[in-house]
Amino acid sequence: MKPYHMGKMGIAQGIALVFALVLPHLFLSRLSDVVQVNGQLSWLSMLIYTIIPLSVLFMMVYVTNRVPGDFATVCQHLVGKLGAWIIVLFYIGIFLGNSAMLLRQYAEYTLITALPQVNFQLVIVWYALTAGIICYMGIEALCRTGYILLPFIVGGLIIVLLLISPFCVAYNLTPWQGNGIMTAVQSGIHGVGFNIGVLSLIFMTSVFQNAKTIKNIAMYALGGALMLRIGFTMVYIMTFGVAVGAEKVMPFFELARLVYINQYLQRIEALFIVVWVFIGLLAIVSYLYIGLYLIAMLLKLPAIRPLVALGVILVANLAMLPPDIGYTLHIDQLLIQVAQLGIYVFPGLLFIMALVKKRRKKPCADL
Amino acid sequence: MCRPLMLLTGLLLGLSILLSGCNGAKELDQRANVIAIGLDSAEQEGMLMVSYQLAIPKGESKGEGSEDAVVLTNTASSLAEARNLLSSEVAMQPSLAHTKIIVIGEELARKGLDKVLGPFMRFREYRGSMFVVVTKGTAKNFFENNKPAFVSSMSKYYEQKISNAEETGYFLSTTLHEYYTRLKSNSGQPYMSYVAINPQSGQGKISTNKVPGGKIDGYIAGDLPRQGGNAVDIAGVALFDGDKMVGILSTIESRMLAMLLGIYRSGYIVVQDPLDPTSSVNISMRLGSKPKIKVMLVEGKPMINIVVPLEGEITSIGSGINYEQDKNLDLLEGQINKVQQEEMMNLIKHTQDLHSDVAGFGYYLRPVFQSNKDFEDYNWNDQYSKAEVNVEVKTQLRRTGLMIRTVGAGRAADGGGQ
Repeated sequence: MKPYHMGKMGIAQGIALVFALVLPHLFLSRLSDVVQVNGQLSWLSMLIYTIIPLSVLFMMVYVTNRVPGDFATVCQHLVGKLGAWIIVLFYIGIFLGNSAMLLRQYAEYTLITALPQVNFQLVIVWYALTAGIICYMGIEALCRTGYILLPFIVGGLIIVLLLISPFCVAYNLTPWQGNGIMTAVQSGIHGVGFNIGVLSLIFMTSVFQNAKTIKNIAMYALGGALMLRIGFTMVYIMTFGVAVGAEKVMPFFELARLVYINQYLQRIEALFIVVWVFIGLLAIVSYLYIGLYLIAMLLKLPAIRPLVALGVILVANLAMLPPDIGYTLHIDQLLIQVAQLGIYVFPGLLFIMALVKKRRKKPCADL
Repeated sequence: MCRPLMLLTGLLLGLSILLSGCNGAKELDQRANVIAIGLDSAEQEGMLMVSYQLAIPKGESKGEGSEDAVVLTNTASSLAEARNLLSSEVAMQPSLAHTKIIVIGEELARKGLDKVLGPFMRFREYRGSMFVVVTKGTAKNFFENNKPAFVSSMSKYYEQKISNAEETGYFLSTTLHEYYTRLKSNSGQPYMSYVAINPQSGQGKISTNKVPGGKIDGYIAGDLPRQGGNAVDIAGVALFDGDKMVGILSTIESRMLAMLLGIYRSGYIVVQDPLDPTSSVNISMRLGSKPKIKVMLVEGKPMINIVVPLEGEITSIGSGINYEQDKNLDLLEGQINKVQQEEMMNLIKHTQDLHSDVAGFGYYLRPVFQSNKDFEDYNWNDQYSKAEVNVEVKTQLRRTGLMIRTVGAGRAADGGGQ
């Protein structure tokens, strides 16, 4: 059986993975929340919640460079066995939880936008089954698929933004401070959970070539995602304004269905449904895969394939638990807030412990 | 090929056949496509009269000359219930996904549309790109008397008719998205095209009189002096204060509004000949560029400065006076500036009286404030009426049509052309 962690993948595949993990919220209701809280200054919030996880990732690269082994081993070395279990279990919960909530949201939005007559369970099962198959294929298949689809996803997004330009009112971007600078800063600090997916690069260090590759991936992926987010949000605000923009359940779908070039070029949103279905499916699989990867790592299992079916069933059941979409969004928001621990507390703790251990070692080295 | 892979391939192929979506497909002749929806107040309190104009598929129509749409009207407590009733009335399954236009009765529009248009933004079959218009009288009456003469499809008729707004600026096309975003923007008030059934008596009714130096009166839909053709007029713009209709702009005022909004494409204007008041000069006019609008606060009071650059081409000089010459050209441009400026001031005065900033001057004020709260606290829609407005129109006549000068009839023989 092939080991599930091999150092084969390069920057492009890594970017595809991180994009799949951090971008899907752009297509979902979370953007409307960001616009409601920050108004025209949403870009500042997005900038902050990109810079912080990027810095945290660099800290973690430093930590993993100092301590050899996989992430669980690093944690065990720095904070003990119990500490390592707590930290890894936390990330497992966050990643599988995200996979479940994304599965539920994408299933709901598929029902709303494309297949209103289809049974809800069937959509969940269909998404989960597809996710399971891709997950079974392994990280390399997942990342390379993402790499192939990425130009279509980004291209689709850009085309919609260009087609919607006749509806843009630039003055909607003013007053430029939106709901206040401090509000945006606070929102940015609390919103880091949106980008927790970037830490997958640390969990899967051995899958990528070296530390430099990981740093490059993080910079390109988060930088690219930031540009897309800001560009999209600005066009969204210019088109709908802050008040109407805060009302929308599916910002991207709403933009796509507003496209009206002339009598013959309109009602084209169906063409773009695949864009968010692609990224959604990749995101569900990626979160699922990382969750299972961490389980395998924690339990020192030789492979994750036997876990896939179990993981899919778990995630699908979790996805069906919330009674309605409102509750789902509430849980999703809660996950993003809890994920702050995974950005601020645990990496901070590991970094400090790595520094402390380094200091303790120094006198010995001098001797 | 290994066994699991073959199984997987078989599974995927099977699923792709089963989940292809064809099971839920509806053929065109199984669907009743609603082209237009009409909304009126019903006689009973709290009820709506909802009219649906449904397309008849060509295969189902009775041949050449037969109508291609049918109108059904339901009285119900809500749009959802009206649609339920519609399902009971037609053999096919109603579909609203291809609705082009929402026609709202004036009485309902004046009562307020907040509760009526809400579902249109929420339900997925409706979309923001649907046109919205207000009709004089009832929407039901509008549908019943709307008999297009030139186009074969009612759906095409609506799109074509509304797109004509670009030709003259005598009405402005408005979509549901534009109406709704304006309503919630706090930076301007919404507006809609105004439509009506014309009695076709040939006796029009002037809504706004021509200004000094001008030659054109303003009309609203239903009052155009005409006979023949389809009885439907689209002329003028319905103004709103919040979700309530408060007034109507005439054709001339609508054109001025189009200029202020920067969406005026082209149209003919007619002014009194400056040197021969009994004659007129026709000019094909368009915007030179978007108007330059500055809104500022002077001691807390709003001040609006507008510069409208116009470009034109002379299409007719009734008097034969050579306005192509530099000196006369300046005179004619001055005349146009004066007329357009006065018409624009009249429009702004009219909208200020009705507390309806349909030109969206509030958008230009937004950069003055630092935060949304500051802007909301200023309450622009209330302040608009107090604004001091300065308008400057700068016309440049770029072309003189296909003639470079006019030569008097008797002068050609004796060398008058020199």
